[in-house]
Parts: sequence; C-alpha cells; structure tokens
Amino acid sequence: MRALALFVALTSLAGCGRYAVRPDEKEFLADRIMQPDSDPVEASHDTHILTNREGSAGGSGAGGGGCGCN
Amino acid sequence: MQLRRFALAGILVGAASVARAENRADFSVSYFTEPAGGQALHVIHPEVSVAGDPTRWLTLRAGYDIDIVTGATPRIYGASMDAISSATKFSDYRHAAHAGAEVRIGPTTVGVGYTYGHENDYRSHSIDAAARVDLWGKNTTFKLGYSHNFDSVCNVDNRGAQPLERRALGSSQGCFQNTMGLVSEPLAIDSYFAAWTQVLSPILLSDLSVSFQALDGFQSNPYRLVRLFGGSVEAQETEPGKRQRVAIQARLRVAITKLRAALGFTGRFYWDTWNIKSGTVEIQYEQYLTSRLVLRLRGRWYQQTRAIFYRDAGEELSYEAVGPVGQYFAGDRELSPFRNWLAGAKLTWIKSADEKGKVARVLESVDLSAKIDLMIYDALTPLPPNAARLANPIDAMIVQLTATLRW
Repeated sequence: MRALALFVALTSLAGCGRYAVRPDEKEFLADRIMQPDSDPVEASHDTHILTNREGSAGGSGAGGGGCGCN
Repeated sequence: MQLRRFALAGILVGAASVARAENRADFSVSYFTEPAGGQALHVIHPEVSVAGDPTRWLTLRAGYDIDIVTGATPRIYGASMDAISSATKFSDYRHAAHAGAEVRIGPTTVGVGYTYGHENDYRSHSIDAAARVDLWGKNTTFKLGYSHNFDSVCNVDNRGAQPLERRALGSSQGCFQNTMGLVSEPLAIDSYFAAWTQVLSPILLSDLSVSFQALDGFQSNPYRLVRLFGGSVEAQETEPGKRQRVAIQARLRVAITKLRAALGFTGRFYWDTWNIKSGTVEIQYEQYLTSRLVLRLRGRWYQQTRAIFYRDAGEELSYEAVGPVGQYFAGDRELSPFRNWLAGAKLTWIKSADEKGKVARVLESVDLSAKIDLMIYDALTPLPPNAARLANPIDAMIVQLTATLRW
C-alpha cells in the first residue's frame, strides 16, 4: 500500500504545474511503440485466451490513449 | 460453454477502447493449441473489426469473430478415472458480434456498445458504456466503464434436486429450443472499471486501472460430473452462484530514445470471493529494426492460489475421499493452484503514406504483423487434475497474423 500511495503521489505531481509535459515534448510518446495497446485486436485476443486458461479475469481495462499526442 | 469467459474479456477490452480517432480495419486470424496427449485443444479464431469517424465528433465501430474449437476433455472428475481414456471429444463454435458508438464533446468521450455471443449451449447479450476525459494538456486521462451481461447457460432440468442428485448435460442438442428436460440457467454479470493514464515525462508513460466484477447465476460446467464418496456418487459439478472479483493493474512504459526502442512493465494483482489470489508480471521490449520493421519481445509470469472449495482429485481430503466442501465440488482446473510462463515474439511491418502519396492510393498506413507466444504450465500441487497437459516441453502455443488498414 505504501508503494501504491507513493506512486499515486508522484504521478499526481507529474501531471500538473511546471512538471507537465508540453505538446512539443511528446515526440517519443507519440510513437506507436510507446502505446501500451497500439494493437487493440491483439490485446483483446490475449485477454480472450488467457482469462479462459487462468482463474482470474478482469483488471486489464485501461487500454489506449493518454499521451495527448493527437 | 467453455468459451464464455472469452466473451467477457472481449467486452471489457471493447469498452475500454473509446475515443479511437481514425478510420481503421483490422483483420486477424489466430491459432491456439494445447498439445496435451489425449486432451489436445485447438482453437482457430478469425476476427474482423472496423472503426470509422463519419463526423469529427462521432466514431462508429463494429466487429465479428468466431472461435472454432476442437479437443477432448474428461467428463468425469476423480482420481480413479483414466483422464485420457475417459476424455470426450468435442467441437464447438462461438460467434460474437459487437457494435458501438463514441461521441466526443470537448475533452470528453462517451461510448456505448452491444455484444451478442452465440454458442450451442450458451447465449450472451451484453451492453457496455464508457467515458473518458483528457485533462491538463492531455497529460492525464481518466476513464470509467461499465458493462452488464444477460447470459444464459443450457442445462439439464435439475430444479428441486439436491447438489448430490444433480445430473450432467449430455450434449448441447436441443438447447434453447424448449426441449423437454432442458432448461436455460441465467447468469448476470456486472463489470466496472476505472483507469488513470498519466504522462510522467517526455519519455515515460504510466497507467493504473481497477476493475470489479460481480457474477450472479449458474457458473458450473453443466457437462462435468464429479465423483464423490469413493465413487458411489457422481453428480454435476456445483460451484457457488455468486462471485465478486477485483483486479488492480499498473503499467509503465519508457522510451529508450538512442535505440529507437521502448520498455514496458506490467504488474497485476487479483483476488475474488472464491479466495483465488493471483499475480502477474510482464515485461515487453519493442525495437525498430528498420524504419518499417518493429520487433517486440515479451515475457510474462502468472501464479494463482486455489479456490477455497477446490480439491485435487487425488489428495487426502478430495471429494472422492470425503465428499463436498460445504455443498460445493468442482473439477475446473482453472480453480486449481498453478503458475505459467509465457515468452513471445512479434514482428510488425509498417507501410505509411509519404511524399510519394498514400499506400495503394487510399490508405494512410498498412501494418502486417505475425506473432508467436509459447507457454509453460506448472501445477503447484502434486496431484493436478489434468496431468496430461503438463507432459510436453511446451504446454501451449499462440500464433497470430494481423493486417491493419488505416485511412
């Protein structure tokens, strides 16, 4: 829980004020290899297969976006 | 029936994919196999999906996929059974169609969707909704999503029977046709998720998501019999009717600019009211080999504990030795304690429009990809229910070919 609280605090600070990332600084973030779910068909299929072979579904619904590159 | 969880997963991922601002078509075919002797499983999965923006504020999406499944599985769960000779061959098709729409209003995107799944012994109707907002220079994104399933499972008419008297379904013939002796068992599933994506620096991206799911209804395998009390009783598997699940996932992605590469880390923790706890760790490395060729390597580790009412078929306190746990008895190997490893590679070829014009005159880009994932299972008890599937050097393999067109 401490690690989670630290993560939340750090990311909250990073998202605002002088630490915010400007649009002209997002060259690398805009690259396809920086998108965690750049291939939604594959992501869907992976979840499809793995949740059927394992006993724990859910928790992977955070896909896509977020870098503000478009 | 065996594919019902597949449909749930697809719905959750579909609900999460709001705000896709491009015209896109994906064509994919995949092959999954578990080559276990006597219980081999093969799944061929073709899929097509399209998404387009008829106006600046609207995206429409639709898709269709099929699972073509062949294999063999033991119908009776018990240590005294020969798992291979008692395995029953089966083949099944699952069809799923989905459609949805997303509307963009300023920094907010709201989406709704519907999915219909059809198997011989299972029907699924699902509605989903999701909302997303981009804040603070699009450095922060919050998403909320919800879906509800109205599912039905074909079963023998066991109304009024005690758990130890319940009979198993022999086949899917006559299901959902008002056949005498067969009934439709309801299963309602409510799924919720919240996600937060955060740009941390020009080379660092993170996201955190939480999901909750409540299931209420028939969740057993209607075909499976479990041997109890020394084999004097064989009754249809009985699992609890209610289950709540929670999962938390965190991801981090960092660009390695000098190598034109990216490194991704994923950690996930899950627990549910059947007392299954699981953890997942995944590492991905993605690298441009040339301007048009991207290689991705990944490794994944997964481990889970067993459900509180699950017993291995040969253990001292097995159902066969001492009877049910409370009123429950199940032979579902996904409820057993185990871990698995996955190692995979994916190669993607990219052709984008350039100063010479569009690809094939109309497309902004074309991606062609091929991937292979290999899996190893490791049972964490000495008496796993399906030992046959652990006998090979590689216990499962996934191969997938995908073409993506954008315009």
